[in-house]
Amino acid sequence: MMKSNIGIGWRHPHYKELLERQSQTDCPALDFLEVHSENFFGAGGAALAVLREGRANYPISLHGVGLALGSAVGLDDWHLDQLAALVAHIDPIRVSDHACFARGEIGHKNIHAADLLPIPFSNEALNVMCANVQQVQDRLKRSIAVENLSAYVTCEGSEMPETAFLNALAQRTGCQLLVDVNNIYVNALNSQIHDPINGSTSDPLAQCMGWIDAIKPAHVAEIHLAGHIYCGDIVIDDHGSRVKPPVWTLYTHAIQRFGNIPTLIEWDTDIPALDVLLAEATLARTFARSAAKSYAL
Amino acid sequence: MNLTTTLAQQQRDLLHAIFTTNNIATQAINTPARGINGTQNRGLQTYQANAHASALRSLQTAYPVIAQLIGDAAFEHLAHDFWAQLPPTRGDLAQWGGELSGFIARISALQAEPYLSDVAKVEWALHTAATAKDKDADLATFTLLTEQDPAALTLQLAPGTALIYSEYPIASILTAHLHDSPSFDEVGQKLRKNVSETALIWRQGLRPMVSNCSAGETTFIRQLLSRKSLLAALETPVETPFTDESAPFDFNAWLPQAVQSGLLLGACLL
Repeated sequence: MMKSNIGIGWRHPHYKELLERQSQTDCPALDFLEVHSENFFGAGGAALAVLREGRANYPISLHGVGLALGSAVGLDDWHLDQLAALVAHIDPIRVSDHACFARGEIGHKNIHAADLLPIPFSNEALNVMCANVQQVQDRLKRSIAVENLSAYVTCEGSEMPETAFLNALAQRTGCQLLVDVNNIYVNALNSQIHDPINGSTSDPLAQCMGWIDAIKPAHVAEIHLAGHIYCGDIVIDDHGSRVKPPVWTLYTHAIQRFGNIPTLIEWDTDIPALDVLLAEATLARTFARSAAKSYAL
Repeated sequence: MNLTTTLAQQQRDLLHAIFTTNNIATQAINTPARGINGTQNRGLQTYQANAHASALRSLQTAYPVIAQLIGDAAFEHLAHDFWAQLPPTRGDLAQWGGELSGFIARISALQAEPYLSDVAKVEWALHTAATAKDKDADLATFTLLTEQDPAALTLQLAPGTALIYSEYPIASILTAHLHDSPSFDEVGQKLRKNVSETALIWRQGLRPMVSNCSAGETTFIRQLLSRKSLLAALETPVETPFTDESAPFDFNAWLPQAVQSGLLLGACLL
């Protein structure tokens, strides 16, 4: 049987329960835990102690939300120092962050928006991303994975499709790609809502499958799955509900193209009982196994 | 399309648009729906809503007592204004908020509760103590107390240990809200009597703690925090404004209590 490769985002409401279950007979069958790197910055304290305990039973995937790899002003040395210390401490199976920017200058001072803000898919942005990713990899002495965004505005100046941008980033830096299937779908839905003329020429699922087909499988290190919410005039990638059926369909397509890639269930708002996340992980395992059969064929 | 816009300028414009309500940087961004009114605004509103939610969540984590003291609506307003005027500079939001004490002190609407600024100082000290570098107790080192000249050794305090003096009973305000002791009636009496307090912050194992520190203990701990010898710490006279009516500092009584509370971790030679 195919080796399972499913993990969940381990968040504060489940720290204690998962640690308790680790020491009992119903230790959840997970292949890795993902945590947000920034939640474990700092030299010591309870959070880091919890992560060390979790690390005793599960591989850890460190997923960042604050490196701001696409920022034209460059990286924050302090942030990179903290990440490097955490990576040395935890020895994670993967380190990842996003193809976004967040740092920039306002009033002669660099600020951080604490969000994942979009970048244009331009050569200039690609050069900035490559330099920043390379700096991180040089410091960590390992490759990182970079995730595609859900974006609520688009930036002027794109010169290539997002997929070409990501492929080029991976090719030039040796980084890997983290494909967030839900983000692709959210972008397609918003494109359809806000561009009824061009957006109606293809249905969102077909658009997303084309996106997945354009990514080189050798670059892909992890897949993310999450819920999203319709807010009438916009769709938000809120990570606050179960994975929607069309996203499962896309996940099947992704596994068929990329193979048995480690897959994460993310749930960051309105976090439910741990068993709900574990049920989603089980569902992901079922989809992955089914899809992998056709990949093998 | 304005292709002369550099990436850095484009990013500045988008940040400015997000951090400045009703200011849309139309040169920097477009949407899939160019020409459809309102779409661009909707995307920016999403980022602005995220920012406000992040600000509120982050400050609620670091300042639970300030949130209780001023109430939900005022706290949300405070978080929003603080975010706009002193935005984060780091990608870890746990690092954002250290300047809230000074910010509160400048808000005239909050002057009716003049202790708020000092309460915020203590909450930030608790917040930073939570991630201070771990240090284990080493009880065996206490044999130094009987074997060595007290002028040649000092005491090791817990991670995050800090002292914050206030003209208000800040330690009592904090512990009344966090641990239900003393009662709010007792805190009210202290406020009416203009009781000043020094808050002692430290970490008991992994748990940040706060308590009211007597004048003698404050002087003693302040010396230890300055890496003075045990002898120097014991011989330093209590200074104003820390003088109070409590009993003189009794090292022999303090020692076992400090070890039990996790404040004191061991002794070491200078």
